[in-house]
Amino acid sequence: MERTAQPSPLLRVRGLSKTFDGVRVVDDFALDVRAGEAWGLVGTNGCGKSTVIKMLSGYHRPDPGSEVVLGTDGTAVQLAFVHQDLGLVPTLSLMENLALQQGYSTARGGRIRWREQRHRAQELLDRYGIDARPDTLVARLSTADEALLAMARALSAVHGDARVVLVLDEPTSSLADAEVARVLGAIRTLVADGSSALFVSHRLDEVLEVTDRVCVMRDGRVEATPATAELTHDRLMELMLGRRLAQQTPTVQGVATGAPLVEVRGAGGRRLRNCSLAVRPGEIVGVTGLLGSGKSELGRILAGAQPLATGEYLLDGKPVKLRGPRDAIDRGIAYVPPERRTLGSVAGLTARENLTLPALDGFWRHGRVQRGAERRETARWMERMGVRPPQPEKVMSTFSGGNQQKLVFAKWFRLDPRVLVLDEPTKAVDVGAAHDIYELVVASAERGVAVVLLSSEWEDLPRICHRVVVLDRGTPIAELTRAQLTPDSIAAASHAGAATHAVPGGE
Amino acid sequence: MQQIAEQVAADGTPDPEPARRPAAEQSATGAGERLRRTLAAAGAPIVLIALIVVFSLLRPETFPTTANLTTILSTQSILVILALGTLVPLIAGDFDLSIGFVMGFAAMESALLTVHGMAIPLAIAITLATGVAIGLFNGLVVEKVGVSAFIATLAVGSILAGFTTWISGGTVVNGVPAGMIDLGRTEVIGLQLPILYMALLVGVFYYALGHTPVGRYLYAVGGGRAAARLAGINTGRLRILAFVVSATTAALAGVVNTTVVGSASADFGSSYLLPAFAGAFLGATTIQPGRFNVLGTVVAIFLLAVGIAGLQQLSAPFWIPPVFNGGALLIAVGLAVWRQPRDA
Repeated sequence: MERTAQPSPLLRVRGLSKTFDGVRVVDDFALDVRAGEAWGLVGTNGCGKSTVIKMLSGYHRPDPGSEVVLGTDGTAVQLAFVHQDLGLVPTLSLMENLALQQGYSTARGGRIRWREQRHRAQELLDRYGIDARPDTLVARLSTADEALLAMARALSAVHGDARVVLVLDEPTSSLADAEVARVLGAIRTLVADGSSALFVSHRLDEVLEVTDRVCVMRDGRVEATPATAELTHDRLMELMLGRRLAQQTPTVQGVATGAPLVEVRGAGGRRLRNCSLAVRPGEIVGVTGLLGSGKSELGRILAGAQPLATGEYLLDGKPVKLRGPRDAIDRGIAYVPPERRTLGSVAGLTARENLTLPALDGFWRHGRVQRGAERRETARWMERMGVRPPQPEKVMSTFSGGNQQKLVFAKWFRLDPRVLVLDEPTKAVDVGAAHDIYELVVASAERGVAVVLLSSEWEDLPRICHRVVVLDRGTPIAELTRAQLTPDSIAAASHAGAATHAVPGGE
Repeated sequence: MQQIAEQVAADGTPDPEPARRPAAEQSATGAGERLRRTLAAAGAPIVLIALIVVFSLLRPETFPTTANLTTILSTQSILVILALGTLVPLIAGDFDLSIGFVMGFAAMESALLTVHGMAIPLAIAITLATGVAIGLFNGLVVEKVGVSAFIATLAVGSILAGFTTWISGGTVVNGVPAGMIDLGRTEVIGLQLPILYMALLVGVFYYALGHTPVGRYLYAVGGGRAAARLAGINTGRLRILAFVVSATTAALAGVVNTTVVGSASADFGSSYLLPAFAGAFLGATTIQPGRFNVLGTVVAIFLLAVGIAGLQQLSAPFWIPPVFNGGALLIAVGLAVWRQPRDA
């Protein structure tokens, strides 16, 4: 199969399989990664790609008969890993985080050579363009710098002149679009220097941008390994889903008219300054901006989770004062927060308990909470949202990311809200679930719900939104109408604000 | 949308946790998994029954007797009441380490008030009101000032231990009036009153925590305070409520102790603190595994009590009970978390 002219692979995987309690999660996975090649590894949630990574990293033991060879022609090859959560300790300094993997250089008696340590750390930071001192705490880094630091640390652990295959598991999942470029740039540099990369991501655009070939997994098997140059976004999705795309991405239609349903005037908070926004019934307004734009704060204010420091909040044109989330919920405002696990749901409670939490009173009859009725209601919503099989008594944290998010939506749709405030609703959700979620959002708007979509998914906003407001340091600096909306126009407007200030990006 | 939904549901599992896939999603192993869960939930009750059977066989003339049963029930009743109080802040995600000291203070307070001639109902009411006040203080310091519950309640407990010695003058207070002692020693249908108090409270807590919205909200607050708040729950008020319930219940346990013993000593409360927590933690491995729960706590406390009573009848040395308590707690919690998938 391989042409003899090609260099022998740095990493060769054959027949890699993993069985959990009789279920084949990964079945006969094969891959050849050559020097200077960047591979993408994609698939929907549960396709087995995380298990593949965990087997390569030694966390899971592969089934017997699996073959993983590093350096097929005798060259020294090492795998280096950047895992999704990056594995950094925020309360330690950059230098100490680097030492977690490298260890410390010590003098006699176990004394750490701090000066040398600091020097080595500074070299690494410079090489990866991380603008910080070795003594800076990781907690103070931007998320892009954190990802770069994790990469630097993984690569610094490689011995001598061994070749590297760097495995990156969703390193960009928590980055805003504007920051992703730096991480992708670092990967490109690495590959150009003759190392290789295996890049796992939900963000197909990034995969298309940075890789040479893509390994598409489905149901635990390798579906295809096309060259990236031959792929389009839609083609890649079709390979992942295993069928032709049934329909277009949900797209919002028409123009919303009428008086604003929800409005803030001159809103101020910690970062937000003089922010005004009005949303009509049936309208989807996107709000975006670079990191630190204050859009999440706007979401919390709209949801009643944070008080207004200055300005006014109006519902149906009348000023209201929300003293907390309960006030907002009672007025028909639903809020899907950015952190699904810690804010959107109570991870340790069941789907049923989460779904009924904001309106439990409806199940309070004959002196007790009617669990049977709760269970039926939950199963009904799971059915409607496409969470299958419907298991109301399953613990929230054991659902896939996409299904968790659908349950968070179900929790609010059940209350028939008039206003939806959504903060990054498709973050860390696979493409199929993201499609469903957008469809739900568009359908709600068609029923007359006013939607505020706080998002940094610039690719998606033009299709979903009637208009997009760009925030910069807490203040709206641009508003793009439907006709003006493209990913590029949003990017340009977002960066326009940063360009006028001395300090780009960051906090 | 339907097709995509099917696609997502079909492979179903949370990507970050593939190890849970079979347990969570696969119907083929579903039956086995259900059995495993049922066994886990029923583990402690099964061990309890097994202990009773074994000791009954080994000591047929002393163990399986009504006298032994009522002795175990009545000696454990105060601990069960205290543990019920402990449970509520634990469910809401907070430690209340002051409960043992609240109990000691309340026991002394009720003894002193009645010894000095105050009407018994009034003395009890004042003592319980003291419990409410202490709980309110704990709750406000934790919720409004923001001191961690562990530290705040440890400090309050220490202060109360000092006050208890102060009001008693460091001596045992004797001479509790007969009317008070009747409340602890009278028998109804062959059972001492404290057993009935315990039964009543177990019922009330079981109902309130398991079957009312407030109980559900407490579990939500303990499971994720920020998420609970965004779901519209007044998390601050519930946390304070939890501390009020725990301190008031501890005060009640103190009063009951005085009625049973007929006297009060300055330092007994602290000895109840660890057993109450052990009961709550051991209880969280059974009936509803993974959750602090009322029936689990009750089963756990009687499991330990039966074990110790049996060992004592087998002439085990006097230092065995705490070793048995600690060992049982370690083994039970160890088995509960053993082989569960955990993060790298």
